[in-house]
Amino acid sequence: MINLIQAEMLKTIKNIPISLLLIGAIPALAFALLNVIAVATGLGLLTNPLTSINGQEQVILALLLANQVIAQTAFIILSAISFGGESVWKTWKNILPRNQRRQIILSKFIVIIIAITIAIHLTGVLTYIGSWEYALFTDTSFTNGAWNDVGIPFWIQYFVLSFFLLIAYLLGAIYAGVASIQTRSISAGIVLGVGVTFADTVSQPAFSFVGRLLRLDLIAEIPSLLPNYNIQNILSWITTGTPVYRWNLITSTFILTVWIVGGIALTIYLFEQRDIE
Amino acid sequence: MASVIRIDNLRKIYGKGDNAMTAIDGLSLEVQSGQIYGFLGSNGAGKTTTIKILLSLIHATSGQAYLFDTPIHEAHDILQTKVGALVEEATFYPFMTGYDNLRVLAQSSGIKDIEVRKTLSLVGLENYAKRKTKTYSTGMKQRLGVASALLTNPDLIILDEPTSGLDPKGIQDMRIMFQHLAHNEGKTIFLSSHLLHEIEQTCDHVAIIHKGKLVQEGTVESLVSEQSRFHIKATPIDKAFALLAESFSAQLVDTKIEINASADDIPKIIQTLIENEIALYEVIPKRRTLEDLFLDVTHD
Repeated sequence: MINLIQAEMLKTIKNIPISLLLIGAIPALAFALLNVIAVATGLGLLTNPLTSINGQEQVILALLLANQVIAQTAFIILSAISFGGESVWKTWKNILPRNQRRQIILSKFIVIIIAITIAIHLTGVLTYIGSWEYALFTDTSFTNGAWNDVGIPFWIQYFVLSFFLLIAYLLGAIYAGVASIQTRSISAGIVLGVGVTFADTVSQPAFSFVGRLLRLDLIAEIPSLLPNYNIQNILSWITTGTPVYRWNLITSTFILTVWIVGGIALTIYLFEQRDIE
Repeated sequence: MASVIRIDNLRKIYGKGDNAMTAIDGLSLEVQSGQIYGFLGSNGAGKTTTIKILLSLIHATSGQAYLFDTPIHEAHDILQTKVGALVEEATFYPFMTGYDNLRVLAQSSGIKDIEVRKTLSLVGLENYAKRKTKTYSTGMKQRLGVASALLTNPDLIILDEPTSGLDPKGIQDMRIMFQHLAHNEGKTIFLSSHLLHEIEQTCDHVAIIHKGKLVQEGTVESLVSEQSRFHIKATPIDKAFALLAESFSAQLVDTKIEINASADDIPKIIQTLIENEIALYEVIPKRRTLEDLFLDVTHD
């Protein structure tokens, strides 16, 4: 398994432009944005509304903002390339006889998890550095402290947020993986991955509307079993100190775990049934 | 000798209902250790499907295949350590060099990088190792494909059209390498090819499949000499032809009779013609080639 993960990492690293772009996009954007604002403010092109900037708060804010479909798309593309690329380049036949199918799928997801983890923490580090630079360029005082003063220490906020951001990105990657394996296509994997992720984010108003239309309250409850609802629930705990929706943190975490484990198991099952043409 | 590949009544049907297509229809064969086993068939005969089942790339509809006496669904470890394969045209990650492509395969099999360099030298690609495979010619990709099959120093090497895209020198190099691997290093080679002459020169055993069924199997020597072909010149030719056609597969070709018979039949043929007052001018053996045999047994 370790050998497979190493091989998968080598493949990802050697696809240099794609990997750099996808893994580095979110951290680079956060860093660039802060620097552009800092330089523009320093040059007098923008007025500085801040008297002080809280570096740790900026990190939490950046990670909260990173929970968007547009950011998830980077890892949906990475996953579609990882799974669909083997079909497009007809390379499944080279690696399959050498390894068990479930190990191949798991190694791909592990490498995607590593890539997501690097991107999240790089975003945190670069945002913090960017905030410090902002303070330097704009003559603003630089401070530290947890988000929103909700009584949760910064490091807990940071790691819980990072973990559930990872879950959110991984879910998109799983949708793309399943779609790429079934369609044997990178582009179909991306389209379906983004489509399902987006559908999940709009599931609450959509199901609520259908429930009202059909006068069935049960339909409006369906989103509470979907990933986005539970991720938002947990993120609200980080930012406000309490879950905003009906489930407590343990229930939301359990539902997300079922989605992750179920999604990976489904990917393995579908792949094991598949003939490699 | 130990059985390296055994296939028992293998069947593969693609699709369902009216769209069902039988690719392999009750195929059985056995490959012994140390053989260079040629696997012949027309396009669509079921060669690649059989190889893909052996490599667990596709699932058989029924029947069983064994590698080193282990059913293929239990043969993951054997596939990883004892089998190397090249299926159809060699394909690689285009954004990586030849060396890195082999490194990926080596790492996934727990093989050290030094083996990658050795294998690249073996197939004559050491000078092209740092070039991306998207710049490789078809022949170079095929060489890299053979290198990927040899990477783990496997006991069984399964090659599907390995010389496709190679120039004559490349084909000769490959033939010499396969024979060296089988005869000097005790490897078993299962070689699928369209190139009948190539199979005849390289292999010691041959199986011919047609429409998913085994139609001929044996050593190359026995298959080409089993039923040799003779040209007979005799007068009156019509009478001679009528006589011979009673006992042998015969046809008139210009002013000669062409018959399929074994060398042991020749004295009887001569005696029959003479007893029937036919003037016999010549009996010329025409050694049957694998191509003749292939065309005979695959002719519908």
